[in-house]
Amino acid sequence: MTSPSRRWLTTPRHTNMIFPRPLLYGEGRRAFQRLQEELIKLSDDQTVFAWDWLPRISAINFPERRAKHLVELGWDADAVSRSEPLSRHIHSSAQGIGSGASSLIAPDPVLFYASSLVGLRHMFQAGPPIPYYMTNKGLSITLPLCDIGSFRRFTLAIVTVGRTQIQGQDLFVGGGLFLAALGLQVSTYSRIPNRKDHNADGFFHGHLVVVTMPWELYKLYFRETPIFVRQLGIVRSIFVRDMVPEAAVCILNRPDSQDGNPNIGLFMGAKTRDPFGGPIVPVSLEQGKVACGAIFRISWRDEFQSPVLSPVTGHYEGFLLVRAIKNGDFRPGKPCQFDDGGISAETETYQWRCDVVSPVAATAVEAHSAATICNKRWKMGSRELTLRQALDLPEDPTSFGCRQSCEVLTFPYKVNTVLTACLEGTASWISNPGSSIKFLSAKAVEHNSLSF
Amino acid sequence: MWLLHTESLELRSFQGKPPPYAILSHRWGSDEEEVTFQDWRNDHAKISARTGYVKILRACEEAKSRDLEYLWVDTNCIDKSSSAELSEAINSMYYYYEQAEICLAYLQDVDDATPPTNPDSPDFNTSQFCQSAWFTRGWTLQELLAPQSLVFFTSSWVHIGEKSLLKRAISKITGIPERHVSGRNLHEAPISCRMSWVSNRVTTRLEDIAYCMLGIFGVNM
Repeated sequence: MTSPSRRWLTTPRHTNMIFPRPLLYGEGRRAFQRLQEELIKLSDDQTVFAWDWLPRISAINFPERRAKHLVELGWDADAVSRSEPLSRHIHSSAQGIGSGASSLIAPDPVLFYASSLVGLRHMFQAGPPIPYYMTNKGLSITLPLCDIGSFRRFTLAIVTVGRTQIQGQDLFVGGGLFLAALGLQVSTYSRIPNRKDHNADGFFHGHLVVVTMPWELYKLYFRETPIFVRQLGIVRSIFVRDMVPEAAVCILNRPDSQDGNPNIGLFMGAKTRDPFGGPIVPVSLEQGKVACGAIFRISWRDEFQSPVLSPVTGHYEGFLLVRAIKNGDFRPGKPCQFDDGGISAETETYQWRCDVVSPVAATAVEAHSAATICNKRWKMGSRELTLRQALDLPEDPTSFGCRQSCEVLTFPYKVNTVLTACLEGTASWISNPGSSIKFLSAKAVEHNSLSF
Repeated sequence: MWLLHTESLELRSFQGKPPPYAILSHRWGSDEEEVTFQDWRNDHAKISARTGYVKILRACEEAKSRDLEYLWVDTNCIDKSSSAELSEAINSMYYYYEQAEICLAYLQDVDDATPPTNPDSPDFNTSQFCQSAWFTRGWTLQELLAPQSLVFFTSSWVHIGEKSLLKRAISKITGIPERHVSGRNLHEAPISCRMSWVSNRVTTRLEDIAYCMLGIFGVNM
């Protein structure tokens, strides 16, 4: 960064030409873009890209004039004045917030409102980033990317890579954004705004998300890829078949999730033979319905092992890994659908033979931790079983099959206080899950949320 | 750099390192009430009734009482008719505040000189201090962070308190972590964090929301 301290010596009045370009009132909103471009030139700090298209207006105490700026940017005036969450009120104007796509440059500082937590969580950069710079094709940058969504429509890009050790767990913590490939240029992307047509799966792609997962899974799913990110262009759907060997759920927390924002989960799937969908599927929760977060129930239910996802409420921060668990008596439920963002669904109660689910994680968790869980006795209905008995697990927990049905356990609220510390102490949770974990069976609700 | 001599009320120009000076941080009133560089160099009788003039005189008194011969104010110490000078001032503003011996933060909308300073107290959020517009303006962010020493004053120039003693309260009001309120280690805060501090602040001109962050990021534009 430029030190201002030299200025006394180098700026006699007649040599103001040393400024690359004099400040020019009249450049309007471009000034903020230029500021970010300057920061990109001078700093390695990629949190400059960590902004959110949709900070919750209600969380922000806006002075009137600021609200006016937002309206100029294309935010819905009524929504601004009502201080409502803006997720459904974004205009599709030709420029500003409602536009079809954007670069990684934020149009207004308000979009950083929720960003203060990103990059702060005791993380360090996992290595110096490869240089990035503005070009005529947009920002040229190498980012860890992971294609997600049915038809691989979207790409989760990590803009702040952090690696941290928490109680022996080697964790990745980073800020993620959703990009879409543009046109026919394979390596050119735009940031996705929150547009209705992108929300078929009830997922707000305009959000900034905090991704937490075991480091080794991060290395498995994300590939550092040189790309260009620019504004404008036609978002295309791409299809890339990519097999991933393990199942995992990665919970993406909104940085400001403590005030009731929907959290987002990525099911980072198991091996699949599904020829159409990618194994990694985003899901989201209906706003308002979920106070603090979510855990996902996951099942593999058919020949093709299309994942069936249904979010249930709960409070959870951190990650949960699941590995498919053998369950011989799985009964698939009636399919139901997500409507726009919410869950409208036929529900059905199931009697699972063991609707269990394993807090047992696979890859990232040491085998002995898994074994500890498996051998712990859990109360299930009137019976008390170990997970191993309930699930008919093989002796070696690392060799769980992943071809059969599997369900993730849902944590009732009580337990979740325990789990709140998950970010801080996954390991301790694994080894001491607490007696209050219950299996949610009576309310098992099946949502066939995504079609493939 | 123009500085106002607190005794003679003359504007004096300094090249290189200036003498010790106090600096004013305030919320601008209307254009009719503030005084410009040109106003100041003309007949003071024409402007002596303006609140912006009175404000400067009171700030001079405060500076003098601290044995400071000079004062810098962003209304009459920048010749805004010169775009080069304006540009220089904007790029150097953070430094002006950082180098000042003391920053006098004048809260025009606060009468209560003893506001609750404990953020946990029930009347904290509704106090005039907490709700002062000074905390919602773009430029006042760096005016808060840059100076080593800053003192708050009420509308009638009654001493409220020092920044260093009000850290917790300021942190609660602005969302800036306490350790950064002093401004000493801003570079340790991630860019996104520093951006969030300004995200709900306002400036009169659209460009200023960017310009007011130059010093906080240590960049020139």
